This record gives sequence, structure tokens and C-alpha cells, in this order.
Amino acid sequence: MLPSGDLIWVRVEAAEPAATGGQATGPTDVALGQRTGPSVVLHLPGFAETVRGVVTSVRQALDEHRPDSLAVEFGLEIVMRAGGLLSVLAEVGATAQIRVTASWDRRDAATQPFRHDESGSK
Amino acid sequence: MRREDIARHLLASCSARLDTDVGPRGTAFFVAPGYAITAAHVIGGTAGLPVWLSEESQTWSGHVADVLPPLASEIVGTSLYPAPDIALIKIDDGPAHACALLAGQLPEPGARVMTRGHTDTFDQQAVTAETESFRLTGTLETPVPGCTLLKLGLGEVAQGMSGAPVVELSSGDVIGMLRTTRQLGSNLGGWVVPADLIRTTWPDEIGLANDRFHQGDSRWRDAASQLRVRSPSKEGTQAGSGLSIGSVEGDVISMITGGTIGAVNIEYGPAKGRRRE
Repeated sequence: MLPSGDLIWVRVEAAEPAATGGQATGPTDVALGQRTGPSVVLHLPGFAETVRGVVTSVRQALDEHRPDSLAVEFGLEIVMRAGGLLSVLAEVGATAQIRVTASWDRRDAATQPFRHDESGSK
Repeated sequence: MRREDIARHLLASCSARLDTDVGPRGTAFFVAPGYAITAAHVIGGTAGLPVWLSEESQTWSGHVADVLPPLASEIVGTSLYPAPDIALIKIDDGPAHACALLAGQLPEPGARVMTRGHTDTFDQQAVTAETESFRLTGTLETPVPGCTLLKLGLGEVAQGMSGAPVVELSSGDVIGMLRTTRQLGSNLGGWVVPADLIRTTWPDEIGLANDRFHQGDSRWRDAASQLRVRSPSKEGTQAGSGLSIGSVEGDVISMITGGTIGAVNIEYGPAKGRRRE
């Protein structure tokens, strides 16, 4: 559940223990659907802050160029940890990417379209 | 009819597949008129959640009336649901149903038991009924005072069996509710919430109501009596004169659901297959 109250679906993929061929080790509750995680409402307390932080950072970076339109694409790694769910950007793995597309209309033809891809890895 | 067949019919008469609005989640079983139980993790620990039970052509709708313990606001990733992990379901609509006979005392160590749950074992998609037998191997204390689980071994607990009843093969009593496997894909068995704990958790809705139901309806006890006739010490026993003790035949499921009463045939005669010296 997002802080706004909206519900989103999250696929939680558990790490597979190599020694057991993906089979969980030790005691496990045996409801159906356990393979893909519990079907319950989980809270994402850091989601809004993360999105707001990304958008604000991009806008500040391009502020002096004043684009007429600005599109920001990014992925969120959502990880489950003891203590609850956190939405984390680029904290896990090396595949996080932010794509920023800024454009200017013909009134500013002298200015070349600005495109900037930023790939981040940890 | 074999002991396992009688037990399977008893289990089928009281258990059902449990669905929520996201699909099949596991198993539940009726313990009193208008009430069923399942494992708390099957319904996500959510009180008030609408649920649907189904068994063959019969369906029931209801809601989660109580959960123990309720779902905490935060979930620990892969940890087990806290003990005891039981939920009470109030049936809002559906046909009359049989009720499991909840055991009043713990079974003997080594007791043979059987469960029946709704699993996706066949192809991990279709949900079908599956039975499995076990031995009672021990107990496991939990951090919750007064909550000691029963441990089963020598059988596989499959996904979907959470919330399934476990019946003792020598008495026909339901000793508890299955909740956890000790190791997926193995025959290490699992953990059972004892019937006595279920009774005392909801003394009115289940404890008294279960006793009252079976005081007024003897069909479960009648069917279970066939198991006692075929107690392990007597099953297959042959008299010294070469006579077999006999056999028990009858339509147990009809007895439970109110149909034709089965017959008990005691046959005396030369034991089949006995080698004469």
C-alpha cells in the first residue's frame, strides 16, 4: 500500500539457495501462494520519499536549461527485510537506471534537444 | 474398507479448500456448526477477510472472525508465522456440514495419523485434494506460553496443506491442524497445532459447540468406531485356528453426511492366503 492509500502489486522473488536447487530449507508455512510470497497488504513507507527525491534531483540538475517538457524513467528495487518493506532505488544489484528525456519546442530552435542517460551501479 | 479409506472419508466430510479474493490459499475444516478453522498465515493474518470454502459441489462463504495472533504491521521476510497460527472462520452462507471430532487429549507418541489438504502438487497449478499419513514423533515448545506444537514425521507436508485436519488412525479423533512443513520436498513431516489448544482458544464457538454437536450427532463416532474395531493390534490378526477376525464394510461418507448407514460384516472362516503347515 502506498502512502496515498493506493494498492500496487509487487512480485517478491526469494533468493534460491544453490545447495537445495531452489527449495527452501528448514520449516516453512505451507499455504498456497507461498512460492511467490504472502498475498497481504504490505506498506511501502519510503516510496513517496524516494520518488520525490529522484524527481527533485533531476529538476534541479536541468533547472538552468529550462526544458519545455521533462520525462524521467526509473526503476525501483523493492526489497523485503526484517522490520518491514522499504522501497529502495539502486541499492540492490547493479541494474538500476535513470533515463531523463528533456525537450524544447520550436521557439527555442537554437537550443539543441538535450538527452541524458545516467546508469548507476553500486 | 481399509483403515486409511475410513480416515480419508472422515477427513473429506469436514475439510474444504479455502479461497480468498486472490485465489486458492489452502485448507480449512469445520469444527462446529457455522465455524471452521484454518492457519492464520493462510488468510494473511487479516481479521474480517472474506473467504470461500468449497468441497466437491458444495460451497460456503464466510469471513475471518478471529486470528491468533493477528498480523503485525511489519512482516519479517521469510520467517514463520508466529505461534499458534490459527484463525476462526464464521460461515455466513452455505449448506449444512459435518464437524470434525476434536480430540480431548494428546495422542500417544508414535500414533499413526492422516491429513487431507488441498494442494497444487500435481502440476503446481490445479488445486486438488491430497492425503498423506504420518507418525507422531514429538512435540515442539514455542515462545508463546502454553503453546506446544505436535511434530509429525515419516510423511510429506505439501504446499496447500496449511489448515488441514489431522486425524488419528486408531481413534478417528482429529488431533489438530497442520500448519508447517519441517522441510519442503522431504518426508520429514510438519507441525500441528493441537486440538486442545484450538478448543481452549475459542471455548464457546469451538470447545462447547464441538462437544454439543457430537452429543447430538453420533455419525462421526459411529464411523470412527470402525477404526477402533480395526485397531492396529487386531488388524490382520489371525486366530490360532486359522480364522480371520473379520472385516468392516460400509459407506462411511454416507454415514457422516446422513445417507444410508453402512454395514459391519464379521466373517469367520479360514484366513485368506494363510499357509497351512
